[in-house]
Amino acid sequence: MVKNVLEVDSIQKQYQGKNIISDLYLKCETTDIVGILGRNGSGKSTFLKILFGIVAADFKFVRIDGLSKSKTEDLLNEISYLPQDNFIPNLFSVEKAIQLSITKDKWKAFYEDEMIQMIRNKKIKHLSSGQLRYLEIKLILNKKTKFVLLDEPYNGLSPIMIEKVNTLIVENSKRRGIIITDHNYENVIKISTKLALMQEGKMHHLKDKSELVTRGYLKSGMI
Amino acid sequence: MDGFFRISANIFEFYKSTFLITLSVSLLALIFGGFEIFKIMLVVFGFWISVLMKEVNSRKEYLFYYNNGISKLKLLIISFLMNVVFSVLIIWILNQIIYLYG
Repeated sequence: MVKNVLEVDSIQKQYQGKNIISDLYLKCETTDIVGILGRNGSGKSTFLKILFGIVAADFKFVRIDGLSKSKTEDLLNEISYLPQDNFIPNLFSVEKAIQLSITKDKWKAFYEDEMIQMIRNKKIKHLSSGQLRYLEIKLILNKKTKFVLLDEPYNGLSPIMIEKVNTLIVENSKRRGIIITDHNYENVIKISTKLALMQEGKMHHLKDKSELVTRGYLKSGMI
Repeated sequence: MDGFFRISANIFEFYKSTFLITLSVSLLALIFGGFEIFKIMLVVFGFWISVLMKEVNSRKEYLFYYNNGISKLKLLIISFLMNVVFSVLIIWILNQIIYLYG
């Protein structure tokens, strides 16, 4: 199996004179699921947007398999990104969204999913928030990119759907590196192979989940 | 080849999503400004007004195309060129109709 490596270094972002992200370093390899936790406003989503290239940073250094990637265009075929908000155009049908997003050889397997069969003939605007989120996650995970960024994937999902999504993510991590951030810390901890905590724009790499308590993100007894 | 067709289909879908507004703006120009203004609107300004409306109402949708490997710049430039081609074709057809029946 080919092992791909994504390295992000020295990311700096200021807004109105205040450091939103400073001196951030992250490494993600194929089979890694890097879980990033942090309170609201700690910079998790901004970090993912900067990494994907849709938000400009004052300074950033992204390297994939040893090659520097400075332009957004360079990253589009290497990284997929699930944003917090829904991103599939409302006027599309589910089938159209699938056919435009994934290669033909994957359609058959994609349509075999029970949930996808239920919504296959619907318009995007007629899906419930959970159905839409599940479709988006499944589309993103079926890309042929080396890395996937998931920003709050559990938003609007029922417990059973969360279990399905966790299975999809873990299965997918055998072929690529995944970076996930969500406030549903129990599920993030459960599936992650590495954990990091963002506090005031700085990233702390954790050796053990108990550090989430000592660093003040969780109260004792919450894990 | 699948990749090429999929990217082309993505860009065409984006172009289609701008066309209704382009046409509406151009028809308004036809009513209030005449055929010459209609032509300019259809070929150039209608498309960019439509893009401006997308910026305000559905900016997140660009992420769909980003995830399909198409940057915003590429999407806008190719869609605009598509619009020029289709608009010139529509204007040519209208000119023929006017010439024959006008």
